[in-house]
Amino acid sequence: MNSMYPGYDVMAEQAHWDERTRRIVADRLVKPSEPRFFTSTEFTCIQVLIGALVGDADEGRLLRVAGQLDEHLAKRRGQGYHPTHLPDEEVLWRYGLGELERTAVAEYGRSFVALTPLERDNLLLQVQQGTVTWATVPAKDFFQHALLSAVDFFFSQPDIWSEIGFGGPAYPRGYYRLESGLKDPWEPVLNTEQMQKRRGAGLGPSSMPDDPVHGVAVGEAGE
Amino acid sequence: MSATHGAPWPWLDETVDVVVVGAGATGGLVARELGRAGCKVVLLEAGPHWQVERDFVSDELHMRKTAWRAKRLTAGADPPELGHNIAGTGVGGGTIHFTAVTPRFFSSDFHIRTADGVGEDWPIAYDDLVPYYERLEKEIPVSGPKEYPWGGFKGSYPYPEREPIAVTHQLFREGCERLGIRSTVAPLAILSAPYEGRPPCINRGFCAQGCLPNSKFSTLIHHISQAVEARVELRPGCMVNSILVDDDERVEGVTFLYDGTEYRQRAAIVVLCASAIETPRLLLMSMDAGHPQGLANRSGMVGKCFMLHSGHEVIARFPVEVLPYKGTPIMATTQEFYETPKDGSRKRGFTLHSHGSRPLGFLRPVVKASGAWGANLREIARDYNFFARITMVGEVLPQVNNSVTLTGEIDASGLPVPLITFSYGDNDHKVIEAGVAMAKRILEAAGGRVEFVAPDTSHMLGGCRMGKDPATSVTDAWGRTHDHPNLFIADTSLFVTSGASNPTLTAMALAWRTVDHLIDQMRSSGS
Repeated sequence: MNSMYPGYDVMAEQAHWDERTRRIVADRLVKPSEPRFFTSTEFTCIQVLIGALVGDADEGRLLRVAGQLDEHLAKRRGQGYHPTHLPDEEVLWRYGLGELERTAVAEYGRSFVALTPLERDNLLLQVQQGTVTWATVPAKDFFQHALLSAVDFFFSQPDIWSEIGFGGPAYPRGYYRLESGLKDPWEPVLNTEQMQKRRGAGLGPSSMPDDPVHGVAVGEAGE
Repeated sequence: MSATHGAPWPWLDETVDVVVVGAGATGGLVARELGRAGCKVVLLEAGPHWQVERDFVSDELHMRKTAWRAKRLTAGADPPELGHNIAGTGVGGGTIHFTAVTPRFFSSDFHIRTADGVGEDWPIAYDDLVPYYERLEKEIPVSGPKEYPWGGFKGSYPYPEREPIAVTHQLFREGCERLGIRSTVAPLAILSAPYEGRPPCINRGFCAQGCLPNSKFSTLIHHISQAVEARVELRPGCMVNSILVDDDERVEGVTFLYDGTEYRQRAAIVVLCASAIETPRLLLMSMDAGHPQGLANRSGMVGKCFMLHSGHEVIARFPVEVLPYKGTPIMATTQEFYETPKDGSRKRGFTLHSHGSRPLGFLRPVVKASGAWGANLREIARDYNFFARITMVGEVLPQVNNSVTLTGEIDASGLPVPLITFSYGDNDHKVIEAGVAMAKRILEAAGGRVEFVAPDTSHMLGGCRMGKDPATSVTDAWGRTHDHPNLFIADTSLFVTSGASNPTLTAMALAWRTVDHLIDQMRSSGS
């Protein structure tokens, strides 16, 4: 389904941002150079994987996201901690991508990047649930790390900020009209027609299906 | 330049009065107070000296650089997330990214063994900290309500409460109101009016990424500037790797690594303000033949009883736009469920805060709660503007098995990698259960539908607890280590219990009390 904020472009406000923020955000829209951490084969795989994890098929955007993840790993910008049963982030990526490829070949006789979307999603579901056994790193942990990394870099793209209606950086201008029902003039305007369409599809703000709460089963029997 | 070392620090070859290790929330304050008292102070900081206008930007991903990023390992039934959420680096430490929520601890926090039969009693009482709470609230300063409904402090706060509050916080307060639960605008070290050249908050929303107009208090912009004015010698980029001890169990100074080279700084007194992980780690790393368990550790309690707060996130969808990116992240709170309830269903309790979010702050807990990915995740993200969140700060009782220890692995500086082992206890789970249930009720009463509950933790505490008995604690009631008369600790590692309030104000109050004592001692001994 489409955005509820069609036509909103967070970058239209960049003249109101401080220069350092503007540069960092604008650089996210630049096509990356050759990967330094990933091999070219891994780099292609990463783009397909991230696309699957965040539900995106825009090749240019996925190339940028993959490039920014590559830079993060090449410069070892990670947070530095991990559970004892996992290797460092850089090793987790390298081993995990190798396992993903081996599993694709073993199950479908083809490379991960050559799988159909349905095959690919089926395989990733097995990885998420840990129903495939990997020798080097635990499948479930690799999936969770890949997913959170995909989220970090994909949802830091200004074009995605526009899609979800994030008001964006706000220094030095700030936000002034905070109260319920109020917006500053530069904030995204809700398109009610799109909102209705989403509601019709069982999505969006007014749709509150009776499905269970996700997450930790706090206080439930057997916890 | 020093004649003998070629290093850029004038006092390197001297025996200074005090070395303070760590330029975070407590180290900056300790250094300023000692500097103002006329002491020759060296303040060593492992990380960089951040410059607000040069280093801070309005971006979640980029600002993760302010996290402590040296290698750490985690274990236990609930291995904690460290990184940006919990551990800062550089001058200013965690105050660069903290949400500046500054309630006091409750009086009962200091004697839960006596009152509730759990945990341990502190060797000090709430009243011991009151003068320091008052000074801090005035000088950083705290904006908050005229009347505060809970704990020992009834208001009013020195600066008026922040207004207006954004929709996330309005919904929280409406939900509380409908359930008959008292709520307030949170006490915040964020300005509601100008103060000493700092402007009031502009509601940019990136408090956790480093404040840009300097409306939020941080140690960097406040205590460090004052410490440097008081002639404290601040040395960023200096990672202390051992504390030196003589044959009489007195410390002689420290060694530290700067740009790969080890230097020595002699001092009459050493004060550790390095955090609940790095302070115990440094004591353990300083082991030698005479101290095989590390320094200050005859009790075996260094690194033991490490605590976090449970910090579960409860996220609900609303029928109207919430626009969670606008304004200070945490702006409303209830401490109604802080202490042990009459029905005895749990010991101690929790605070609930309404909590806005930027995109990553929203999506990471969503993913952790639901495992959502692909088209499903993309659709949830498209509804970003319609979600509101409550974050709990839940008390976690001390357990000896929750610990900071050293591993055989070596980090990029060549130092032993620390292992943080953490598991919730039975009562901790009961607190979480009650906190999550109450957060759900509040969001539902406000008209939301709760869709995600994600586990999280916050605030490193304990690991070098204070106490009366040298057999079961690391320092005395003043933060002086039992084993070494001139080695002090003044950070959150002293905490005996976790409380359920954000701990920065209490940590600073405790540190100020220690440094006051230290100055009194120095004056009375004529040194």
